[in-house]
Amino acid sequence: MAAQFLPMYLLEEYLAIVGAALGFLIAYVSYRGYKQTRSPTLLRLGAAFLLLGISYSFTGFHGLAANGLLPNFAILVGTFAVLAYSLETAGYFFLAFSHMLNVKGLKRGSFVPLVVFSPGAIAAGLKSLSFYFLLYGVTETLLSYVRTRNRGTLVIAAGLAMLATGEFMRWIGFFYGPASDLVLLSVFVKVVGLSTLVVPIMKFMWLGRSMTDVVV
Amino acid sequence: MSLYRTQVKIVADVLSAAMDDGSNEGVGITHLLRRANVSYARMVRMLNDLVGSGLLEALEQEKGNRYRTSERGLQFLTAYGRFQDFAKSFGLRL
Repeated sequence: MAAQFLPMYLLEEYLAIVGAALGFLIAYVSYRGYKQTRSPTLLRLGAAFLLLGISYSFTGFHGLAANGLLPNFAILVGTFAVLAYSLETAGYFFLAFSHMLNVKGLKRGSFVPLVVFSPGAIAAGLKSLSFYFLLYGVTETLLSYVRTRNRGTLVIAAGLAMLATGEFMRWIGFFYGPASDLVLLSVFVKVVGLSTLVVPIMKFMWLGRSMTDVVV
Repeated sequence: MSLYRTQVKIVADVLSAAMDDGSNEGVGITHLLRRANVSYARMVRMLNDLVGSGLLEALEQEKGNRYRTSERGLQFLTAYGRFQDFAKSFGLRL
């Protein structure tokens, strides 16, 4: 029965909807944190996840329109894709940028992006760029874990690494067709990766709810 | 690789330092300077801002002002602690 309501070929679209909800939730908590502490780090984190949330929403719209479930928007499939990838790139950029600002004395010139754009494909170029930012985020989060030994940081690093791995597997999966096992596996890996991002939210909710807004 | 101490972290350090004395009489500027590790000129500016925003209370005394973390300051420190954990999960610092 469930399969009737949740056809497998739309798995990625469901994932995008879950991702969007998660992105908006993290953005909301970060914004609340910014309001209470005026910390620019939380503002950047909020901006990153707001953009990722909107990007996931567009990804969902794109998938549904491409599969003919939104006939009125079929003409906008390409626009949805470019919008989704642009916002995703911007979101991962903010995430990577937050890590860059946290560190001093490191020559950032050594991290010149090694990005290969597919000729003529803006979407593919943006995907490459966001993949690079995601990898950068994973590296910095892992380095942060090495410094702080905070288990939550390790969980997020693992989650981001799984998102990057899922993204990479999806690229390879295209060579074997959109319905290949590799594409399905990539969706599964991304679902697990996204689930780990719930951990800080759960921890935050668990630690207590009643706090008065304080403006510095 | 060294790490910057952000403005928010410095504010939290000053407010924590102002809570050090349990006698509720507040602490002097020398104590704050030593504990928060901030230059005198910057500390004077910060104290004006923190008192102005209600995070610190200035207690006027004969030998000069003493400072005590206000109720609002305590709320800030609680929020800071919670969101610091949240940011730390993403490998970031407030």
